[in-house]
Amino acid sequence: MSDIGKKKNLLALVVSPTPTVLKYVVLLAILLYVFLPLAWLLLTAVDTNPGAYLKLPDGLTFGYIWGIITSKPIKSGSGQATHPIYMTNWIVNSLVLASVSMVVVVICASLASYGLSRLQMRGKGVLMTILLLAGFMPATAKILPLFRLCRQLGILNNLPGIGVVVASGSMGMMIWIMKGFFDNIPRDLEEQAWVYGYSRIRALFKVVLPAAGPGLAVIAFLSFMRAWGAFTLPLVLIRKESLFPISIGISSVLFADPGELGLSVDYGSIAALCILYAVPSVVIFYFFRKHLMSIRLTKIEVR
Amino acid sequence: MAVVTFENMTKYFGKVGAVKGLNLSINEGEFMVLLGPSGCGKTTTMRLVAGLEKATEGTVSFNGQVVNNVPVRERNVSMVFQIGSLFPHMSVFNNIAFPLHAVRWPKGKIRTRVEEVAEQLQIEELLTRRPHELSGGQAQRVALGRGLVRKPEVLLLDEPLASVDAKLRDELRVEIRKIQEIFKCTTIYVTHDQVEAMSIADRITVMNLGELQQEGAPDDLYSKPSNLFVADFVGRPPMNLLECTYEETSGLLNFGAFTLPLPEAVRGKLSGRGELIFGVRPENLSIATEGNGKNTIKGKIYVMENLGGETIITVDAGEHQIRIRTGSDLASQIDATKDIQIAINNISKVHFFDKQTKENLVYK
Repeated sequence: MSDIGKKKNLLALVVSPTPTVLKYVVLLAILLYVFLPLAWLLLTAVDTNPGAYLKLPDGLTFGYIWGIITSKPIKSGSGQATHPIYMTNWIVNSLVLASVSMVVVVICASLASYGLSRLQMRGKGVLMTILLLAGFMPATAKILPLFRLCRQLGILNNLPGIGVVVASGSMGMMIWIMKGFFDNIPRDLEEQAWVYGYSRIRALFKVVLPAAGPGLAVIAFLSFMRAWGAFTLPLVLIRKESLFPISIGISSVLFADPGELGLSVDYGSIAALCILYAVPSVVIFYFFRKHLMSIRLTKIEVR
Repeated sequence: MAVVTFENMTKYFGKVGAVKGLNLSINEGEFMVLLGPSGCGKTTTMRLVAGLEKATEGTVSFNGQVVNNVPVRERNVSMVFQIGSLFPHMSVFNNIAFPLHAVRWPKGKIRTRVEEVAEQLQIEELLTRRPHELSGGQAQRVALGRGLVRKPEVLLLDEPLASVDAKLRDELRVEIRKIQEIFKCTTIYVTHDQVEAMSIADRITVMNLGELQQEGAPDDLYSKPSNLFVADFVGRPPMNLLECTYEETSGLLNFGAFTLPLPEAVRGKLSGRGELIFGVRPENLSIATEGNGKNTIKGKIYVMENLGGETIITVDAGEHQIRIRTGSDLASQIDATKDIQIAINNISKVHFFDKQTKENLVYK
């Protein structure tokens, strides 16, 4: 008995310190890997004298961030630094693009997935598989036909139009996710509504969609974020600098005047813009996290 | 309130017959229980009344009017699913008012009606709560309130107590019966639990494999089962069903290991039938203190289950196993190691079934 106890202690002495140290070393490496770029961004965006290198700020200022929000971006750095003047527009453009895309996805995906969840039909399995595969396909693969289509429809350089195009890319996946939510809403719920005098469409709005609220929130969030981060499609379909979404805008700074070392970029405002670009995802995720966690395939409890 | 009539009602799902040629009439204000094992067609029958399924053949009528082609929402039936299938995002008030919102009653009228129903169900103080804040019993009342608020033609209850624990189930059963008596609404209640059916029903319809087996008052089903299925399904512990042959010359029933004399009264009905199934309820048997071996069955106790007030004794008698229901104080005096004699208390209450047709040969 006591022997075993001793052995255990000895073992703990030999084994435990090493893994602890190791653990922290590994964690630190991962932290650096993930957060170093973010740290650079944050430090540069609030630096009174921003530059191309990672350093502690010379002084603290929110002027660059505020400048973009108030549509008066401040120029920083040397005289010839490129200074994009449309930064505020880009934010608005991104919001328009993502919102349109989100609305289209929520409306279409919820209706489509409700039908797929509730109705029996021939070839449903095949249709669902196609939707899933389409969802996994990289948007760039479809760029040629999409470009020609937009050209014909005259929606090049048209932000809401491009929002609709971007929505088509995530539609398949969102239908799948939403169908999962609908499948877990007991049929009893809407059958009761029918029995109590509601038409199918009224029952959908009064009973089913409220019960599917978390699902709607999830696909709204995911589709918004996908459009917010969309890059290839806007890059090809938008040719006017003033109409760029943030994703294209930020990159365009480097395209326009790359320089070997990227030293002639106006880092202060761009870093501030990058921070503003990253913020919505964090904020929205924070508010939606409960619902996102609820993408689990159990029955929704009805009482 | 309506008289509900089925005429030759048949429902097929593809090639599977869920309900086959059902003929049944449910009276105004009657509490009818559809009883049967899962897959017997009882739920389908109810969904046909609600209009959630369309009959393949035959008709459903309310007050003599065929409603086959009346859409669900115009039938004015109410359906209460398993306990507490309330809408989780609505308050209790809105849950009860739900059927009235459907027909767009004016607000004031809805409030008066909901409060009236809530008062009858004694749930006035719950109206502002959310469904998840209710106990099982309260949720049940609210669900019934929603069902009764617009005075339906028929109230349909689909195994409302299936997911409730045993103690609460006994309470709610009584409540449902009480509430039905207050509202005097034609009610169809579906269950697979025969105890529930027996205790709550005015009339029971037993179904199996889509076919009506027997309908009648609970007592009739119990004392005069029309076939082997009903005899076996109704009553707990189930009726003892023993295969035997009737020897007409000696007037004896031969069970292999033992014989019993056939009572005079039924001899005529059984003449010419060799192979029979003999049925006797466990409470119609008792342990004989001294048996002569002629009118009694000799056996060995296999197991004794003491249920408190009563004891179920299972006895091995030849190749048969026989259950006896007896008082626990009597059972405690029995020496389980010795052979015992089983006597039939009331020979007029035994049943004889045809081995092929499964029909009851005495009560037809």
